[in-house]
Amino acid sequence: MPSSLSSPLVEEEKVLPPTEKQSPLAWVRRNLFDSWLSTLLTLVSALVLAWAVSLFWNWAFTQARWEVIPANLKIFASGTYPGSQLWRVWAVLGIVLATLGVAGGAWGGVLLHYLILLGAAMGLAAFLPLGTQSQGWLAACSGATFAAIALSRGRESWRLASIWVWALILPLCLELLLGDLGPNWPAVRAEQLSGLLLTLILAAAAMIIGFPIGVLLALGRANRALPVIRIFCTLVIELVRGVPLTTILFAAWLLVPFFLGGISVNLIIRAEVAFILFTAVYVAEDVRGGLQSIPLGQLEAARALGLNPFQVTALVILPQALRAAVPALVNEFLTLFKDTSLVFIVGLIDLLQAGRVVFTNPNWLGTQREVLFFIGVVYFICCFAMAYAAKQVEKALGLGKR
Amino acid sequence: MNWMKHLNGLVPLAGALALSVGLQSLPAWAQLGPLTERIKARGELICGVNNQLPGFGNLDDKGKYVGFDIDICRAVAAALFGDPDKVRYVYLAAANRQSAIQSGEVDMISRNTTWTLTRDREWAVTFGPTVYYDGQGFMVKKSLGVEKLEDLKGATICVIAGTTTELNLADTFRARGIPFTPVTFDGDDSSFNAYEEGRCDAITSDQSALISRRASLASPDDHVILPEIISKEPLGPLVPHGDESFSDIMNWTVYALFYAEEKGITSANVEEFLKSEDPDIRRFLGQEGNLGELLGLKPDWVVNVIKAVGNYGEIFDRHLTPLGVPRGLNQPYTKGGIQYAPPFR
Repeated sequence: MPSSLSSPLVEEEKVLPPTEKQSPLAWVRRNLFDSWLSTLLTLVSALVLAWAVSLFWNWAFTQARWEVIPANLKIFASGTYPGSQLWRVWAVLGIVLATLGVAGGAWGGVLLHYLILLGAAMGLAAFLPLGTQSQGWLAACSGATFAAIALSRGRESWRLASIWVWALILPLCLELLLGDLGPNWPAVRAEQLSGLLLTLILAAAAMIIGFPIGVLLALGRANRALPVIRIFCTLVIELVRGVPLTTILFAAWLLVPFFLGGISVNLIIRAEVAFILFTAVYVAEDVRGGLQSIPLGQLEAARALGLNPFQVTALVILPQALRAAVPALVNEFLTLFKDTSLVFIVGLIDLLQAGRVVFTNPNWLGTQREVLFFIGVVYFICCFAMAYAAKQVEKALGLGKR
Repeated sequence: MNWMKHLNGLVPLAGALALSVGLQSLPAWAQLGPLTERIKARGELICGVNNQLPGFGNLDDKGKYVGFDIDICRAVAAALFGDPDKVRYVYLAAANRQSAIQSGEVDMISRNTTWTLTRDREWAVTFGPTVYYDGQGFMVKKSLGVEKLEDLKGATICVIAGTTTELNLADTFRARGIPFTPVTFDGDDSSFNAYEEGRCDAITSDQSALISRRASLASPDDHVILPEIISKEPLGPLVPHGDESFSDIMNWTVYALFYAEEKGITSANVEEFLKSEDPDIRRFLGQEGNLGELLGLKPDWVVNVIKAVGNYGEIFDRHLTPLGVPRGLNQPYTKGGIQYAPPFR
């Protein structure tokens, strides 16, 4: 293409296909009523839709006892976490939001939008009659988020620090949630972490820890030079992938104590290790797919430039492989988020179990529809937010265009 | 006070030393078994429970475990430690009970478990006194005009899979030659939901569950519970084999609940009973004799239990009466029921 090399102005003269402008009416006619068959289908589906919506409407506004949701918000959010220690959860939420706020301010993009949305939502929720303590904390969390954003807005030099700081923040949060902080604030048992709090902790930890392990496993499996490592990684991946998650959880619950010979490891940690393992092997296969999409020429070119094997992997191969693996990874993380509901097998109470606990409370018998609908909405919001964020990341990386 | 924590590690060692020195001189009853020692050293009882059965075991809106079965755990903790809150609850699904008790994941199970010979042997456990005599019943829509089981010929019946309930249903109907179609579900909620939505003509479950669930249906009066009971479902707590001192503590704690009701001792008036002159009550409450010592407990262990959870009737009234469950067989023998405690002497 000699012309594009000769002048950058040619770019602007590119002729795009004409975009069609249609009135809504024309769009409807063309897409919904263009033949007798599609007219029939449109009418039938409209009827079915109207029937379903009216049924739902009728239930939601005349029969449903929605008061079950506000009355049990504490159970949904934190389950059996001791009520007198609830301030710790709020404080951790504030710290996490503030740290995210710093990152959002420094990096901008979809993270910033989410945090503004979240901060605003919490600010508004602070006006709802949820009790002075909750309202105060909501306002404080909202304030912390916005303060952090304002502080770091546009400071690109903070970008890397906003990632590394998590190495400090996460242990701090864990100590704050569970630690023995003095006579009035005794240690909280890890099993008491429950509800949405548990779901988020399980999913986040499995992603944060499972992802790097998965990348290493993928690199190990793709490595031709070190056969022992390759065989080991392949074995781990195939073994864990070949067993259902429920089985791994059962093993973590019932078999691990026998192997440890009396050393008791916390149940949540055992379950978490199961999730990390499971996530890691799937991430490994997603990343391996990415690795295989890199042409051999990239590797040879990088070597020809004099990069050592580590640099070749870290600077040339991995960035491209991960970019290609983004859609698969997002898929994996969404699945993981929902799979955390399987912890009921080992007796932990995640968001879904918290819901079951609510509608089997004698005061709220017969409210399973309301409760399950609410839980579905919460799951949907979390998953949609993740999927949308991933879409923005894909756009920023130019996935599917370059 | 951190250094004191490290000293805790020495307690078992010191215990073992003391034991080895005193082994010859101590009578057999004074030696606590390994599980009791472990629970005492840990400072809390680990109890396997249900958190999804209204009235028996569920969480209140503060996230605390409450219910009839929960109070049994609390009573045992009160007997052991004088504090009913020294319990760690572990939720167990029905299918996980056996593995949880065998692996030592829980010290005790109090989770609406029917006592059967197979469970007693295959789980390698000791069942405590039956705390609730249940039986399998049927609920049907009033409009069907069903009055006895024979009227259910050809009916579809909702039932939970993998339970004794399912087996009893098949046995009874086969024995009487009544054809029927079972529709199985994985739990109470799905089963009762399906019944309410009209997917089955009748639903079978434990009588207590039918009564409490009927109250939560949209129009309870449209449904009737048949008078016929087709099975025995004695529900009670259980502990693993291997430590009779602990199973004795569980047994006598439950008996103490029965006994207190027989004697009219409640959480409200237990202090007054401490002044009683009746030697039987003085022995029971630890004013006289060495009943507590024989179990390896404090002399006033019964007082702690009654103060914490009340007597058996109080527990029943707190959790099951509000759901409309009648006392039925679960009255003391003095009032026509079959709850009966051996003598405390």
